[in-house]
Amino acid sequence: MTISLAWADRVAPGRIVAWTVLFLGGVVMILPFVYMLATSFKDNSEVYDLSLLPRHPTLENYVELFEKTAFARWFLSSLLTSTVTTISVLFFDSLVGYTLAKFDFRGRGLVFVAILSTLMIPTEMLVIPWYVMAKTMGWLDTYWGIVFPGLMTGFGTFLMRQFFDSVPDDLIAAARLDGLNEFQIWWQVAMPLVTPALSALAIFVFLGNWTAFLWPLIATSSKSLYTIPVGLAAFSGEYQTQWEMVMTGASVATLPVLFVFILFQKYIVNGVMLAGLKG
Amino acid sequence: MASVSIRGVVKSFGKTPVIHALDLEIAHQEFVVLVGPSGCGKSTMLRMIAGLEDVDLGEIAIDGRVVNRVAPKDRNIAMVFQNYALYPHMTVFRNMAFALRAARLPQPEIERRVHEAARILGLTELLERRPGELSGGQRQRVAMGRAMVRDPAVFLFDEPLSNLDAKLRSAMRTEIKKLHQTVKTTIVYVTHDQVEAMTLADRIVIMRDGRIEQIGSPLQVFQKPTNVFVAGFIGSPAMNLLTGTVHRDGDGFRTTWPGGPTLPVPARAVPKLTDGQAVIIGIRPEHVSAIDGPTRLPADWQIEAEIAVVEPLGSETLLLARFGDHELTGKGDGRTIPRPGQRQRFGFDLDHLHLFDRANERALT
Repeated sequence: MTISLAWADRVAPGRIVAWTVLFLGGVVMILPFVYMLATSFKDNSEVYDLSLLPRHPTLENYVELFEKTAFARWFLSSLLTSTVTTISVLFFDSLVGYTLAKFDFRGRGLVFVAILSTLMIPTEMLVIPWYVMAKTMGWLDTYWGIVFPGLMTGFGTFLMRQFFDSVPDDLIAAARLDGLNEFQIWWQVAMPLVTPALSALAIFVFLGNWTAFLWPLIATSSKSLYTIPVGLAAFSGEYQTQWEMVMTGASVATLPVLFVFILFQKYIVNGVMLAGLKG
Repeated sequence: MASVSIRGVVKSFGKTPVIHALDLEIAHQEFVVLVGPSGCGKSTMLRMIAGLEDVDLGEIAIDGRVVNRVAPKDRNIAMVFQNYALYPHMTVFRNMAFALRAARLPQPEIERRVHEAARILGLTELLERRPGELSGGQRQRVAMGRAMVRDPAVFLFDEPLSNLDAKLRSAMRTEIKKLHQTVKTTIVYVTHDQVEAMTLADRIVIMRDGRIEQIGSPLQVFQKPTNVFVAGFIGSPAMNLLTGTVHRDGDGFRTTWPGGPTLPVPARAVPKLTDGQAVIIGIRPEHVSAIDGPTRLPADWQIEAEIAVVEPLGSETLLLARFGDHELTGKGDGRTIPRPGQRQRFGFDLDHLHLFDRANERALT
């Protein structure tokens, strides 16, 4: 009886529709990824062939990518800038978020609104003042020049403030009585309680910087400082684009992200759900 | 080991005053309970002793040393919070050892103290668990253990039992009392539950709207409430309070309320009364007894009323009775349980009658 009920439940029309929609959604999401991977194994003559299986699979593109271009260097640049930015954002945004959530001081609301208002300004508008600043300070074409605008974010501060708000005040009072100073309370008591938010923020910031194109393009001119997106763009020439190389580079670029996701899947999904954000 | 002195302490939140020039002396090793309804300022007072809130005016001294400007960690106090405030990401052991580690005590000393407290509180088996894996009562014990290991001069408890179910609350009350007898430390305990206050305290401080209404031993505040508020607040079920008047009757006075009997006033109240004075008459339910058979009580110490609600408690029965516009709670013996709507005779034990001046609500008896 239970089995037949379960079966009836499983084939209910609502479920079939839901599965179909989810399946189609999944296909739409994954198809470009599969096409990218397939193209990376095709040779130049096959690039415009839409088939998902290369007729003459080859690793030639990968060999060329690592031997004839500075891809490895770009990869390291991306890894360095994304990692530094992520660590900095996690540190400073959570510090500011904690202060805004747990300390009562004059002008607190104003500071918070000011930080929030930075979320309304698009990157394209900020690029000019960033450029002027970087040029004045002599930061153009340096790693520091690439990372400085992203070392703190309004979004991260907002997110962390919301999460620290839910840390019980009594816990902080208890830590104060236990003899911790304010910095220790933040680090030893409050931070471990917001790890889901930290994971979510980390993945957003890392991904955002890993795929960032506009600012690294403007901030760098030496090929050795290129990040992956800037480097891959260099495969697009005035007359033709080496799509197989772009796809190969993009495939390799996906690996660390995929690795991070698989490793921290549980935290990321939790974090995204808790943050009420779209992945 | 320490005394706590609170002298003329004033506290406001913004423009809202919460504590009005409060004075209180707590002796060494004394168990003092601050009790009062929500918003009376009792928790704020406790947090000021702890140093978690600033004092606007006045002084707080622990063992003779004024601590207004001393950081919470340097006041030699430990606090148990209402929601336990255990660090959820740490094991029971680490929770209990946290303050000791912060104070950089040597590891063997930390282990000795934590294990000793765990033994006293029956937590030895739970030391490697996290707070999320513990029941409410166990968490409460860990919170107490965390306070104990620090060997503080003063323990502060902020409504520690209010999140527990009735049975566990009663068990934990006993544990806290035992703890006090074992460690013999000064305890300041905040609760809104007058039963907790009565059972635990050496002295009860009853607060309302940031002021102390009465300070005394549990029996004192129960038997001799100084005003209507204390009379109504202490005791469960609450004292019957009826609006009436007193009239001269020969050498003494008699009191009555609209529709009620005329009762002789106890001699101890006579000097303070005037003819026709407006009063509030107070009598506890245990002194309003259901009478089923013959009695030696004088006829004018008795009334007949209609039973409205019956609450059997096993050993006795609470009876809410109505006569005229008034309601009165009395007690039956628990052997015969009357039905709602039934007429029932009640006798007053007038030796325990309280009279309060209706103008200032102060006690006259």
